[in-house]
Amino acid sequence: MVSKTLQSRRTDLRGEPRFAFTMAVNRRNATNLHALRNGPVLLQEQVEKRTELRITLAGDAVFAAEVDSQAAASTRVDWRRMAEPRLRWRTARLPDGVVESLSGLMRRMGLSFGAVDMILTPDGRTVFLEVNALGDWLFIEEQLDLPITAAVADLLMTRTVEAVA
Amino acid sequence: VKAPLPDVIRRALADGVDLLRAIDGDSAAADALMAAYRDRHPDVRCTILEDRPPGSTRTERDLHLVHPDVGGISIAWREQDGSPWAVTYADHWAAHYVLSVDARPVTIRGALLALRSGAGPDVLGALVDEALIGTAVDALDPRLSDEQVQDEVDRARRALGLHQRTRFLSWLAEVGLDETEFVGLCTERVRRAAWEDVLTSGQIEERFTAARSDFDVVTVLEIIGCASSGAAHLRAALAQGSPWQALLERLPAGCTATVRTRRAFELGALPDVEAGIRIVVSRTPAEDLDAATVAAVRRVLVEAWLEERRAAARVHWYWR
Repeated sequence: MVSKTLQSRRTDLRGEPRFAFTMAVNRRNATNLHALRNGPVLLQEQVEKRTELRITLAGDAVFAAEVDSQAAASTRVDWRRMAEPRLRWRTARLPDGVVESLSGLMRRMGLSFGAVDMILTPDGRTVFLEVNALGDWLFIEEQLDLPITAAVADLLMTRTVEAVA
Repeated sequence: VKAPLPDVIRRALADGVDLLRAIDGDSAAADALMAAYRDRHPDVRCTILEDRPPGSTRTERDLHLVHPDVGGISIAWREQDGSPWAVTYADHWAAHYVLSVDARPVTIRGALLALRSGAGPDVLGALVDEALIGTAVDALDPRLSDEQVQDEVDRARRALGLHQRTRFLSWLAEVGLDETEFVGLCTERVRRAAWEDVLTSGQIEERFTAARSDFDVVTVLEIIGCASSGAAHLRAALAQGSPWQALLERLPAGCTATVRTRRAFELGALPDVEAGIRIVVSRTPAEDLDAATVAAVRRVLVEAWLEERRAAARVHWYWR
């Protein structure tokens, strides 16, 4: 089981900033489950990972990136827990049907932009985790030289024209 | 059907909860409470397991009880202090850092890499120096050509004896780097050299001329680790005109002899000044500013710069 905060945000404890990453809940942590009364978190099944995918969708444009988050102990549960920019992203080829499924999801949710997190499991399954409606994309754009910002700009311009029309 | 727990265990469990609740952060008081608990339950082997998560000020304690007829039972008690889960298990912002120097953090991995590349005996000082220089290099942000970086990559590979690609790749795997990171480290080395060029520009000749003898090449025999009487014996032998080679043949017990060749300014103090002996075996005056001497002068200038910066630096260690 993993626990995940409802919002990605910094907290200050005794004047020192902290950040709650997704964490594996072990038996020891479970003795503190009563702390959930003081603030909810998401508890989910822990899915075994081979790699992780970050798929940024902006209108019809789809940018898929993959990261080997399992190479370092610190990033195995949450790839954001990287001490330095060591994680290397690469462009990914998505399994058949994934783009269509995600596009359908975006339409049903009424989203024109989203950053989707998925897991590729060791047995070849693709597991959907979430879609971030305000997801970051610059870290991928800069590493992989993908024109995501341009696609977002195109999307905004198109939507503006549609709205005016 | 499992047999009910024996009364001795039932009593120990109930009492154990009270014990865990009574124990606070004072370890002396905790020891006293634990000793009293053991006295009350002589038939049960009990151990307190302590854990202080990184960055936490709280010590968590579990009580582990073992009884020959039952096995092992652990009890945990967590105070309901109102902290949300997400705050309790949030990472301290410096969880991945060893120290920061003037707000520049040094990561655990960065520190390990610095140590691997030869930090010398003063490991902590070397980490601070690396951070100070890193800040200065970033501020200068020297522009490098691809050729400069490639030259350094080739030089580094040759220096490591990695002439074949297969050997290079297996070496990378051994040290936990990938090729991009290796190129990154080489790039950092070129950037640092460019910063040193700027720092030392126009000062090399002046510094060399001002104290030429600092750069003499000196070979010394150092004998350390002797008892006071042994060192006195060696000094007396030297005073009587014994050649230094003869001393090596009759070193007192416990003494270690090392021959070192350094620039004069690099000799520093002997590790054990009182009982150690340093004998100058040879000294070659530095007459020209050849490449090796220029490199030595640069080290002196960088060290002078570091000395000034160290005095003003705000250093914060996260792990002690």
